[in-house]
Amino acid sequence: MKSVRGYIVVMWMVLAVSPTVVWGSNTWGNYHWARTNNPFTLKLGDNVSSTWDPYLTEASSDWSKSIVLDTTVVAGQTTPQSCKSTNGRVEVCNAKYGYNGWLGIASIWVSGSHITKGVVKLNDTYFATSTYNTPGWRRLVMCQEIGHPLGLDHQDVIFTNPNLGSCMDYTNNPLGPPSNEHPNQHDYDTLETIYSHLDTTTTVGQTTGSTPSAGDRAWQAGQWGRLVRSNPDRRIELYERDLGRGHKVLTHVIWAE
Amino acid sequence: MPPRIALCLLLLVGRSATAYSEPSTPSVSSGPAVTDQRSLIKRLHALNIEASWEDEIDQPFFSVTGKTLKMYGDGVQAFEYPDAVSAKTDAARISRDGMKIGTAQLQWIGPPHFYLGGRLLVLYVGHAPSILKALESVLGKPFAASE
Repeated sequence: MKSVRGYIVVMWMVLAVSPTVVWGSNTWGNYHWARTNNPFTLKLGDNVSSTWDPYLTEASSDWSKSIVLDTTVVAGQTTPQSCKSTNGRVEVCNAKYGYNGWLGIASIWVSGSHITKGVVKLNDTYFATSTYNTPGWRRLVMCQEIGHPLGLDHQDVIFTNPNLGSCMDYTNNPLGPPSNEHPNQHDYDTLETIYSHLDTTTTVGQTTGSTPSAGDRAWQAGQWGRLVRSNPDRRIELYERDLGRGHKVLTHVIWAE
Repeated sequence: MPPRIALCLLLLVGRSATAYSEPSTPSVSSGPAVTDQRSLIKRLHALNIEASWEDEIDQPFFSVTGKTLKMYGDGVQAFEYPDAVSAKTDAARISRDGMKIGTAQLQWIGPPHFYLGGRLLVLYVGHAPSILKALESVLGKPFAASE
């Protein structure tokens, strides 16, 4: 387990001209979960059938690869047909919602730009048909619908153009190639952009069972400014604190095991 | 760059931008305007288009229950509101590409097309040319759609 005491910090002052800020192109407006530190953990309420369970687990794992957030699958608090929302979390449901034209829908409730709760519905009316009852379609739709309540929009909404390799891209063929069954780096970069700031309050429900070190790390990270880079296993991270007038402190952290 | 050329370029850009944002007037066939479910099916029948009402349909993002209109073997959803203002209020929540409605994001089974006529809001999800042509001929171009 990583300990907050066990890190090596390298700091250096940088006098620089203003860097170019690249905003992610698939942010959903300015919607985001309010939270006081990163990474934060969002609960996904499991109201799906056993057929959908592996896809929910996989999507949760995919989105948790983001360095700014984690998702965790917890027991659901609603029934699949009604799929009612719960404050501070996202309820995920599947049912036969009818021939209404949609495979999935993600709804969020907001207070200003802060997401307060979300609901994902997966429409088994279509997933019972041979066209959509495939791992590829299930993966794409589950991944995409969970991506929306994180604050992500579609990367592209044209069905017929080449795949972008992201589940946030509309397609007629989830398998591609490239496959649109998982998030791509652009999605993770966009999440970093969305959650590059911290809020003074939180709309994320309290998580039980989270690893204690995550909170410690997040608290410490808050002192170092925003996380700008990390390696895949998060052992090496780079934080940036803006002091104004082009002055910045970059903090390079190597976390100990 | 000489000022004259710069002005010409500016005018060209302005013109093309205007042409993009204001599509040409839709070619609605002559006849009484479609304002509700009754007038919609009446106009379609007048154009010799086979259409019949089927089941009711509920969408979580609309404030009224709709009816499915069967046309050319496919379903078109028609939502009739108490008045045109209510229909416009729901229509205003739909993004131009039809992918977002209020604070909901959709994964459609095909490209969505939204039409408005009086107190009627019509949704067709698909790309069948016969249906798109028929709807455009009685309701005009969609106010929100994707490819």
